[in-house]
Amino acid sequence: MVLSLGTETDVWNAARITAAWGARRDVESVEVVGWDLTHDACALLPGASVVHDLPLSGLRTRAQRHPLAAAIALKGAIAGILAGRPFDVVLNLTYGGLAGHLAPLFTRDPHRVVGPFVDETGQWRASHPAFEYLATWGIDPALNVFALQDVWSAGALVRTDEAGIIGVDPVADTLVEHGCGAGPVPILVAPTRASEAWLGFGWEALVSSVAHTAARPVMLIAPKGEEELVERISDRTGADIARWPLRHTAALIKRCGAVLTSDFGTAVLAARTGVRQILLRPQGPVPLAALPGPHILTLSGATRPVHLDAVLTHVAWYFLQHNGLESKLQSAADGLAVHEIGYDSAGCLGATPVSSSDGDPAASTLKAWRQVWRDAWVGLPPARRAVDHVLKHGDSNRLGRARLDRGPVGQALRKASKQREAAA
Amino acid sequence: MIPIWVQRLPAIWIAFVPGLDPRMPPGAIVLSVADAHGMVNTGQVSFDVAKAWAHGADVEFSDDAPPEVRAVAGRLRLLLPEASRPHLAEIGARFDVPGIATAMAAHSTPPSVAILAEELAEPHPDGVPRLGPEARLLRALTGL
Repeated sequence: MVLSLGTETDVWNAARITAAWGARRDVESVEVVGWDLTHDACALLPGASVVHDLPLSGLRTRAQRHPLAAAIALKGAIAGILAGRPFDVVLNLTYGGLAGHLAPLFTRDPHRVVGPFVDETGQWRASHPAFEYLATWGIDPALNVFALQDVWSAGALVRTDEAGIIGVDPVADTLVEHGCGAGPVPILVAPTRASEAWLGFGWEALVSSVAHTAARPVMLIAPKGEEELVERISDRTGADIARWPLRHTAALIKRCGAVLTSDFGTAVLAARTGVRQILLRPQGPVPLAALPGPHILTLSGATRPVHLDAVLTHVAWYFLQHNGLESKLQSAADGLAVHEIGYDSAGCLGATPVSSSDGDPAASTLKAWRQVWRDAWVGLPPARRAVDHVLKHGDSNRLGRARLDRGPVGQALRKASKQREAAA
Repeated sequence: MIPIWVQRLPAIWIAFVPGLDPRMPPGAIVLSVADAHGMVNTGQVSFDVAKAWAHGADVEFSDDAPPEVRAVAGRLRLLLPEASRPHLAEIGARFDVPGIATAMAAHSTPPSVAILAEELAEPHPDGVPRLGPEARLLRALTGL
């Protein structure tokens, strides 16, 4: 059983895990327990055969009004899921007291919980160093050297490069019914209001220009809370809006194969369908912890508004595979940090700079730091060169030396430092 | 798989003429005004009413209810925690949460989930309290 009590984005981060466990010969079935609000997202998870819901608002209301009512409701919901048959293994993919206390209740043996959980004495337990990483380092963007997706996958004993692509039918009849079955394949755009000031131009201009550049129609999908913005863009540009259930939206994304967005949730969904996308982010280079998935080109940089031409050039290069744009890409990236997100040779998500005029002085230290962590995970001593680099440059970067002392990595670094001093 | 009542709180519905009122929530316990007066005057409530209250039910009535209904509903609301206490043990046993029900019965007004969660930790000879399933349920609920 996979316990994922978070947002839709959290749920999709479980895709690689459900896919891998669902493919195992010794696993009869993978069942997902999530909130009722994320049922549709859970239903997209590859490898999962059953989705169970816990009623979030019902439990919240009862918990505020009457503890006994809340306990009875939660116990009833759990009993309904178990139906007298506890799960053999529980994969807890949610960090927090709620899931940490609930996870052992779904299995006969609390020690069959994979992931973080609270034991009978109230102490947190972790089945993998990855969870220690989460517990001690959290999601501080300046300190994270791994993508959270990789941390969870490693914690769930899944090789991190396993794909976990959502299984949707890109040529489903529904798409034909919605007028997307024939004719040119559209480019999908999922805009957000928060990005408008940074972009320096309206989404309307971008939508119109992308359609012109690509000689393909643009179709809009509305991130949560952005329905009004999407309506406005549609009114002014004539672009169609896909107001579809989640499964059909995922199928549409897969069929279109190109998504331009500034919405992180959309980026995660698109990544899980395996399509190319461009993610526009005002906040500097993407924090490694928050990498939404592979096949993403991120354009970021808070120094100045982005030129429309810069985005269009990258659309032509990344989506349309136009050749001969190298020199234009260089000038288009002026003031921007451009990264391509993909799996590295170790199967972990990484952001490779495509071009960046800002430069990133901490990049090499982060790389070394990441190498130290990766070695620590698999029980190897840290590489001398990586340690030297971290110790030499650590004070001047954003790693927060005070936190180095925590956990096995800090121990490994201290040991290596002492050895170096002794040798000297 | 999930009981329907989980999705919405039940209600203790007071009406002059008990019957099918379209405004009445599904699964409501229906009381006549006379029944409500009887409960308020004697300080005792039936098991069904106590059970509904333990499920989180509020005392409700239609928007156009007369002042008499509103008054008796207000008094019944105040009375329910105390009047339901004698039934809590049976309710807890029926829903397999006896520890939570007993702990609640020791309070004159419903305590918070967090307070009950602390009370349910079981003492252990090694001095470190242990969490049983009921304590886990409550601690989980504090994380909502």
